[in-house]
Amino acid sequence: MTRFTLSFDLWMAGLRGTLQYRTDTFIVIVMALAFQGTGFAFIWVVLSRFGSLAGWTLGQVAFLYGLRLIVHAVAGVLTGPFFGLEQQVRTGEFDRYLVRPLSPLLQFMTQRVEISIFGDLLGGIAIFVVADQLVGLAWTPLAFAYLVLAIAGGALVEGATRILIGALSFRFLASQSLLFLGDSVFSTFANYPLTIFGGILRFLFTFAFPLAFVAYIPASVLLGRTAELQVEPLLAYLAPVVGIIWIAASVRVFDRELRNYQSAGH
Amino acid sequence: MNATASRLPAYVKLAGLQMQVAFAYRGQVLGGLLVVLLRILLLKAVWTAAYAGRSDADGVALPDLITFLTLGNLQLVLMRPMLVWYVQRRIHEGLIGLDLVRPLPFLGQLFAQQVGATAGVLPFVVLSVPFAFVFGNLAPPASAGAALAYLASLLLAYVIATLIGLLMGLVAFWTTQSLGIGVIYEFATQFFGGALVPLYFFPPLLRTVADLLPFQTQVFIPVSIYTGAISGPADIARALGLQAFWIAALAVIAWIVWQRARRIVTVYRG
Amino acid sequence: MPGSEPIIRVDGLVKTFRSPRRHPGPLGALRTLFTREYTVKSAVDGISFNVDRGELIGYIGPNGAGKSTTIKMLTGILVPTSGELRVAGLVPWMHREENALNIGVVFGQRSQLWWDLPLIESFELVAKMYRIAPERYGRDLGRFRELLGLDEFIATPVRQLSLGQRMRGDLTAALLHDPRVVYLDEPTVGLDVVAKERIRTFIEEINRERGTTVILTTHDLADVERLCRRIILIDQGKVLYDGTVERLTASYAPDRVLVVRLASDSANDGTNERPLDLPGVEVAQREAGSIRLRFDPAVMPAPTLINEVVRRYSVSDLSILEPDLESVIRELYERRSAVP
Repeated sequence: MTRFTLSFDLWMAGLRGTLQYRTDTFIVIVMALAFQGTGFAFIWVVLSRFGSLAGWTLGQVAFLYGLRLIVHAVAGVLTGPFFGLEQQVRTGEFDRYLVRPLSPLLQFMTQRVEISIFGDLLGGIAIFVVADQLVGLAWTPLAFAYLVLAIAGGALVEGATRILIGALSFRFLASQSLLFLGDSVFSTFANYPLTIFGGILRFLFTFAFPLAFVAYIPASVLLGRTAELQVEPLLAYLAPVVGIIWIAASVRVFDRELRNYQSAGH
Repeated sequence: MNATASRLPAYVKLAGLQMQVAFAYRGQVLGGLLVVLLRILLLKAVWTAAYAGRSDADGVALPDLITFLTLGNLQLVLMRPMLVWYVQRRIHEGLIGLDLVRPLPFLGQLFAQQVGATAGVLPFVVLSVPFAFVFGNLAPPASAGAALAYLASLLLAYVIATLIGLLMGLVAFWTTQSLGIGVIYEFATQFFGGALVPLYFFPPLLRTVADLLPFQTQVFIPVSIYTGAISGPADIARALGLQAFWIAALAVIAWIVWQRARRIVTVYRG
Repeated sequence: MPGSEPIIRVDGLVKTFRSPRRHPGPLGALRTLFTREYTVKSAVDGISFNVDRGELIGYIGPNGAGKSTTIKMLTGILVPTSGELRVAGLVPWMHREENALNIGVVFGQRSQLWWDLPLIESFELVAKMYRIAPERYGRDLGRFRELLGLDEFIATPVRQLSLGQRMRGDLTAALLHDPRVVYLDEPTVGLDVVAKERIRTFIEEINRERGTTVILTTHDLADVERLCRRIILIDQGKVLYDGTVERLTASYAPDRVLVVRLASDSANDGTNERPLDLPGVEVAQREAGSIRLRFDPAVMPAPTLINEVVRRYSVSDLSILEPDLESVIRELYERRSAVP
């Protein structure tokens, strides 16, 4: 049994467990759709009135928005449970992952499945497909392969950020508020063309914190808008690699911080 | 009225307790405010890009628009229906019966708690005003009269938000999902209330929908009075009248729902 | 012989917890954030012991003595502050995953089963995690089903199980991979008498059949009396006693009690009021119709005492009470707190 198939089995068990609560499942999916739908309705109303945003048409912005939603959903497949980490660390529930023969991080992430990812995925794919019609992209196998890699890379960047923030739980017993804030930073800056936020933020999100690599740079590459990027075109094509670097770093940090775990009730 | 007056100290005490809750959870409160500030920043960026150097669109200048959105989003923080969360928790913990046998009317208790929670959040909102000014924009009210009318309208908006919150809280007597409904409600308020796009930029059909919903009374009406987009005694009176109409309608609905919810509780306890 | 090597070695183990000092008052939170003062509490303060394979040890002490903290270090949950610790040759926290293959853990207060799924699914997942061969899984699960009577609720979601059923499920999940060492933390907490007995029989069975080393922490000293030959008593993070139950009783509570039930016809003639002045004997309690005498068998052997008693009183019945572990331990802690 490899680590991968074992994790998959655990994840499926987590999903089966979560799906026991049907009304919860339904409401959570509607909630996710309402959240993403509101964001998109905003962009749609603005663009149908004003035509374009920093040179991006409605179709192009929707392409970016849909892509980032898909990335967000994929990131949540494993990192959705992080919002509950603080609680599990405080109550000592985290103990159980430390006495079984698999990485505690993997066990924690597969314990339950965050249902909202299905709402995000649904909304993301719908917006992406419509956007694709609007921009009329000619899909080559290479472009499609890049899309898949970019989604994986973006999901790694976003997931790694949650792992990094979540790792604070062991020392400070708190991370939930920061996780929400981190998610807001992503849904604020990653869903729209970064050019609208001005030079400083653009620079920071490209070189200091790789938020631009989550969806903006891949969307620019696919839409043929690399001219406006601050990075070399070659580097833009390497966006997926950034995800791998980022996740490797975050897992190391998580494992180190885990040593500060104090359990509960001593 | 006398009965209410004699219960006032008890209500004040309840409200005070909720105020402390806001302080105990200051991490979450501050986190929530930062999320709102981020939204303001986003709105400014998107609208500035959309205007693309134009001085105005449909007669609305960009700085005025940003002021409108900044104020609208800040004031929504004060109108969060915290009592939904409270009712759901009490029902979940099986403690709602305790609340019902207290010598205070249940709805009165909920109102007191909501007011207390808002009072607890208020200092944080005031602290965030300078940041809102930097992230978005804030201009003084159109006139002294506008300021007065705005305060009146804000108060009415608060009552409407509390009534809707109460309705959602009462839903918790039937389902465990009222929190989810509360979240969906917040997005509906943001969008249809005009906190992301002022209603005058809505396409006609969407505008009609928004006009028929109560959400505009929480953001669009008060903030338009503040910026002077709604001005003149007749228009202001009409706007306040619309808010009063919604208060009356929601109060009637809430009362009917409450009568039914109450029966359910009696069944629980019997 | 490799069997002579202890399976658990603990040497000078220390665990201290550091928590930020909280300042009260409205601005306290801010001060807490910026002052960075800490309160340091040592939960385990230099503990040493060895455990041979196949032993069944009671690890006991009052609340806050450091029991759970020790177990959490042994299992790899907590990282020790200092000291040496090896379980089957591994440092638990450093080689967490390999160590996990050697051990089984049950926390009575907290189930490790998959809460929302039928019990059987937890077993299947555990089998996958520990790479248990299918035939062995089938055989061992069959044995546990029989020993613990799992069949009636094996298809029920864990959250719907009673406490006793859940504990039986947790024990199975912790033992399916046939660990060399199993840590049982309060396995009988909150259970009724019948359920407790069932769990105890099972633990005894596993220890005997498979030679599994068992470390048992419990508040219920009946568990210990019934199961353990050796106990380790700890208090305030230090080992207070390490040895057999018999030796503990002999050295800390040597006294036994002779209960003398007096004949009813002697109630009014004054014989009951007669003093008893014998070396090594004191009157613990005197009521109408009965006397309790505490005696030290080393000074006053039981037969001699009985002779003396029968000579002086009109006796209808006699019985001797052995000290129970609980009173021994109470005695021990009282002495300890008397001498700081």
